[in-house]
Amino acid sequence: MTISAYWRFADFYSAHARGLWRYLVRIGADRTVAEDLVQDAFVRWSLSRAARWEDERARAYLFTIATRLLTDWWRRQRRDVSWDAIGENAPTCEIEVSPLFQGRAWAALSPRQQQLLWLAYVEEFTHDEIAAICGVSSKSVRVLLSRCRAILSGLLDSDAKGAAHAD
Amino acid sequence: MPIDPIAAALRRDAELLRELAPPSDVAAAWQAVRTAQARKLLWIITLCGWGLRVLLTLVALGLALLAPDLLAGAVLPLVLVGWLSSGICAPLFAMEHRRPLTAGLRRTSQLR
Repeated sequence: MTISAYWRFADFYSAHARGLWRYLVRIGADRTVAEDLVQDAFVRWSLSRAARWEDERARAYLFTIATRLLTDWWRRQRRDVSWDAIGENAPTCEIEVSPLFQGRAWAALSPRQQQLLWLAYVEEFTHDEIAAICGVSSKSVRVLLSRCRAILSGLLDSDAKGAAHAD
Repeated sequence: MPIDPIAAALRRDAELLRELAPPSDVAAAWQAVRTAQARKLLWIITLCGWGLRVLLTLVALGLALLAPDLLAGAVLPLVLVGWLSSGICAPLFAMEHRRPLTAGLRRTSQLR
């Protein structure tokens, strides 16, 4: 292990550790679980060939590892591994001033929908990368994202109308 | 350029969530990586150790069968038996490879 490997790891970790933590927390992981999974994901990433890939491709692979680790963790917790079946999990790290949590918009989405929206609009992955991370076909990502957008848009609108009526 | 309300809401939430994220401890993460690398190396050494033992045992058996009258036919198996029972490679028996690569690592969440 060379010094350059350390600096490569340090740069990559500094750039993406927090983003990965936010992603895991927003798709339903507990804060501490997310911290542990981030560490595990980076360990696995650094032991894989992806450690030598260019940054964008390596980042997509890192998110894939983290997603699978979270699925495994859920499996170990004896919960249903299906993303859509774990919608009843209360989201952690709710922020009152966040537009997603001023109503119940985010909580009303399924984890799969949350995952797709987060990867597309916050992490700005391409459709191909999202497909690889989520384990769905590349062609279906566009359709799924379009549906998710429509659902979240409706939820945010109804939250805004509800808030206006309350005022 | 029109502002996409969905993207804006998600990015605003991401900004707020950034403040709650734990500090990134590169040193602790690198230590975890090194530990995992050491464990992987031990796994490879264990595998090689067992491979060597099996190979040498087969060679000794072959020699004993093919040339029982020769000195090597008797001495080599005895040496091997002695080596196998001596515990020279005792760490190889630890069977570390049965544990996952990240088992036993110090968790960042446990540091707080």
